[in-house]
Amino acid sequence: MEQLSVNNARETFTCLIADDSEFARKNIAKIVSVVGGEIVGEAKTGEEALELYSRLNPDLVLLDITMPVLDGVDTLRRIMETNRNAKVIMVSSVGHKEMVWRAICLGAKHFVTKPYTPEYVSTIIKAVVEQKGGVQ
Amino acid sequence: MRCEYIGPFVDSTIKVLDKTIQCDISKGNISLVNADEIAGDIAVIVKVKNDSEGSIILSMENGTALRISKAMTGEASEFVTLVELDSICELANMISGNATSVLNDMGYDFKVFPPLVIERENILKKTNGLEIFQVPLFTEYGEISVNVALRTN
Repeated sequence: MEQLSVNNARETFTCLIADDSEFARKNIAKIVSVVGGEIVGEAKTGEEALELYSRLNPDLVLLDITMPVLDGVDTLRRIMETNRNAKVIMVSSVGHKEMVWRAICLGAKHFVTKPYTPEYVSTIIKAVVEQKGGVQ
Repeated sequence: MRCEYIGPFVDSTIKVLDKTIQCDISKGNISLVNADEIAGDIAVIVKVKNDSEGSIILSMENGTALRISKAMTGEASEFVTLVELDSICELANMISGNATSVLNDMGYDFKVFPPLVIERENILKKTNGLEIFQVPLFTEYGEISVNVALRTN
């Protein structure tokens, strides 16, 4: 994985990561830390993500789609039902147009397709965390 | 199985490997194989449903998995552990997700499921007698075999 240059960011937002792959969670957690986020929870399934979301109320959720038990799209739907202002970025290897459209319609703020570069994801995270509303 | 299904899986494997571990890749010849001809110590299967049913199997030798995992995580290991298997599963997840996205944008309807490591003796059962198209990919980390076993519904 490419190295990100560390900026002077402080921990300014809390983040929940949901992905069934530990490798994927570790990778994106590094990026979140570099842009000043604090990882408050990690989920391996959509169900775990819902439970952690309601308990931790994070500022940002990074959500995979292909997960066991409950997939990312259904998880997104249920998060948005509980908080229509939730900031969720989909991070998935499945990125066809219809899937991206469905996620954005459900309320996702952005859609990142794997594999990604750390620079690209950090730009998206910063933009979504700083935005007041709407889709990026 | 439709021939146009195979290309996106091979192209996605090359693209994903290039982006994740930045290596030169050369493609071998495509062949039709039986389940017991899928080479390698490690096999990761991704189940596919909807327009087609079946699976994609990524297979390789232990040494290849160790080298690829090290390139992905930065952590070396002498043996294949859950860490290495998780890295290879994520690789299979990215490959199958990217490939089915290409196919879905072409008008097909594919759904993929989370990758699973399978024992060699279970490959025949999991592929359910389907014809398997195999494409070997040669990298500096070793050979990776992409096996596509899909039935058109």
